[in-house]
Amino acid sequence: MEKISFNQLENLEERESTHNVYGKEKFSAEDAKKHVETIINDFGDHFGSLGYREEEPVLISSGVDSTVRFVGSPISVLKPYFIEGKIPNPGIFMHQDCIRTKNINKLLDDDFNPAWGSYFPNMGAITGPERIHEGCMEAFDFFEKKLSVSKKNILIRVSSTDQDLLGICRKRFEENNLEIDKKSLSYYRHKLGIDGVWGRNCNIALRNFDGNGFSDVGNLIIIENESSQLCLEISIGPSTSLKQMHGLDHVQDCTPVVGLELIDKKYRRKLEDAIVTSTVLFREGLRPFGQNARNRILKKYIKAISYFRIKCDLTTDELPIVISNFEKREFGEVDELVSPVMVEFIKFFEKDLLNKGSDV
Amino acid sequence: MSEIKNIIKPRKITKGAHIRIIAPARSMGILSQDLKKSTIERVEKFGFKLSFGKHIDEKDDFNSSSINSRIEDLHDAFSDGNVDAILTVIGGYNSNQLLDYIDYDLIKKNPKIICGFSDITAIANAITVKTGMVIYLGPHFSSWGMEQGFEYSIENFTNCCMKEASYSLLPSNSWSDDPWYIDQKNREFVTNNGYQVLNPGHALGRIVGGHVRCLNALQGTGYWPVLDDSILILEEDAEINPALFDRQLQSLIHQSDFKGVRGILIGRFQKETTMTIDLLKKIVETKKELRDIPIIANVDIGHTTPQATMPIGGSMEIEADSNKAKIIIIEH
Repeated sequence: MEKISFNQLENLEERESTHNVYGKEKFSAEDAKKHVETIINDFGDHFGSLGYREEEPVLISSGVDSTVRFVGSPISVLKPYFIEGKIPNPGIFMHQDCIRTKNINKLLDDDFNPAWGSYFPNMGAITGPERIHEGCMEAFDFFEKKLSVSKKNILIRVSSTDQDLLGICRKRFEENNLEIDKKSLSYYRHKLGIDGVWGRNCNIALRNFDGNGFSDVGNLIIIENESSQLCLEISIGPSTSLKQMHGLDHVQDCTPVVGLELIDKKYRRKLEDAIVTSTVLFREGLRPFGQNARNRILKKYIKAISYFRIKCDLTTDELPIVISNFEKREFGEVDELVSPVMVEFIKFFEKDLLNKGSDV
Repeated sequence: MSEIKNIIKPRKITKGAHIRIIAPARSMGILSQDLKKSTIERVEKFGFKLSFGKHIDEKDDFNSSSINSRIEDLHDAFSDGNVDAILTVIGGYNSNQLLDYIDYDLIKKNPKIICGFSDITAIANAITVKTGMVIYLGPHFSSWGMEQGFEYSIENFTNCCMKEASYSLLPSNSWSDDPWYIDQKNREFVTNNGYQVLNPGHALGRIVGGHVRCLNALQGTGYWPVLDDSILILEEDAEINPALFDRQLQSLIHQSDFKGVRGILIGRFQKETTMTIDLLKKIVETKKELRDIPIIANVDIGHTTPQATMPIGGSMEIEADSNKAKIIIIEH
């Protein structure tokens, strides 16, 4: 039988665009948390069964990594292990909730449509420099064996300047699965906030659910300095993976805010982002007080909620319900909800916003 | 300068809670046996179970006890998993001696309500600075011995320490400045004229402060609370007078982060201080740094009775204009 080419496969799948190539369906807001937890557990099962030790997550606002305002990746927590050369064999894995605040400075720009939410769960692992090949294979196994993603739906984006990574990928994948040098070199490079230490990465992309194109869901990063390789970092996004496999409209559908579906699309994702990020940080005990960068950023998100509430004609009676429903669903039955306190802050800043104009 | 820590709110207590009594300032030994007995009865009748720090009755030349004794009782209270909350016996002068010896990590890992006032200001602000935990400036254990005029205190203690919801802090109907612990039967109550707005405005902030001289004794130390976005709570006792209060207030204004103060609440002064609202207005008017800060005076905090409970490290919104003043305790 004639072997079907990769391009032919893509064309075939384009014609079947309503079909999900992973055989999965979109999940409801009610089921989102369960799906996120499942993939995180899958990751833990996979690397745990390989002997990796689990590291406990930290608060996003803990300041554990002085080079960033919020923990934006598990590597912030895992840095001490490779800096001190104390990575246990075969490695360490963890789940870490993260916040990256790039969105906030453009959130009020109507032309800005964020592809990612500021808050996201993340999964990461590191293994020693002597296990870079094995570590990469273990990461590929996670997708192919644990998540049952067919090889044809995986694309590795890699630079030819990274012959070590390219060589590893070629041992595992066909040329069809490799996208070489299609991005600028900076795409294949990582900064870690440590002098003299950098990362060289290839990215793992999964095919879009309708068969058209790919989107990144994780990366494999060789962390090194001038004299030696320090470790391999494996970083995989649960929400980006779920978005690809389930054909979600947006990664934020993994942490959905129910009740905003009918508001202007231009604002919906940004209001969601502000609500989710503020709630997560409030639950960690951070408050929009003072001059510390973390507190000031939270203040911007809170003010953004006020701004979008007014723009979207969401009433002051509706907003608390939307926020508390999100909090209850995302964090379960907890002793104390932060949403009532958040709403008091929002009302206060809203009054200021109306009186003084936006300084977000 | 310290940075504002993430807030840690201790679990609220309910009737039936186990309260540990400790004496980080003056000793329980200074209370009369009658007052001690009746106070225990009243607290237990309210519904709390009581236990006492090991060293609570020790009494030295300063009517207090050694640093080691007071620290041991404080640490025991936080580390004992059976203890739900802590009340201090009474104020005094020396609780700031403890600040370098407190195991703040222990407290952070075992957050629980601790309530007292006056000299306890030092401990309250220090613990909040070091851990982010909310500390409650409100009735001491000994305050609970008051037979008349304590209802407002209990109501506000309940709102602050036993319920989750935000609430409006209303002025008491009447107040007293008599030595109630000497004569419980013949009390003198004065009708409360309500809050006095010294400066109008609207502010939201983190609650900082307490007894002014105890607070000011923290200046220049690692226990000084960051004033950025704060609502400053100021109260004094009978030892102050208008000129001395002015000096203390000026000293606060000289703090480099005073510009971060968003609002000020001033507690009712005791009669002996000779402070009047007119004098207080004059003091405030002389200070240009206060012109844009809403200030509400004659609040039921401090050394007259009854008294509200203030969650240091919590948050508050105040709204003041010439007709009305509103104080909302948002987070406590």
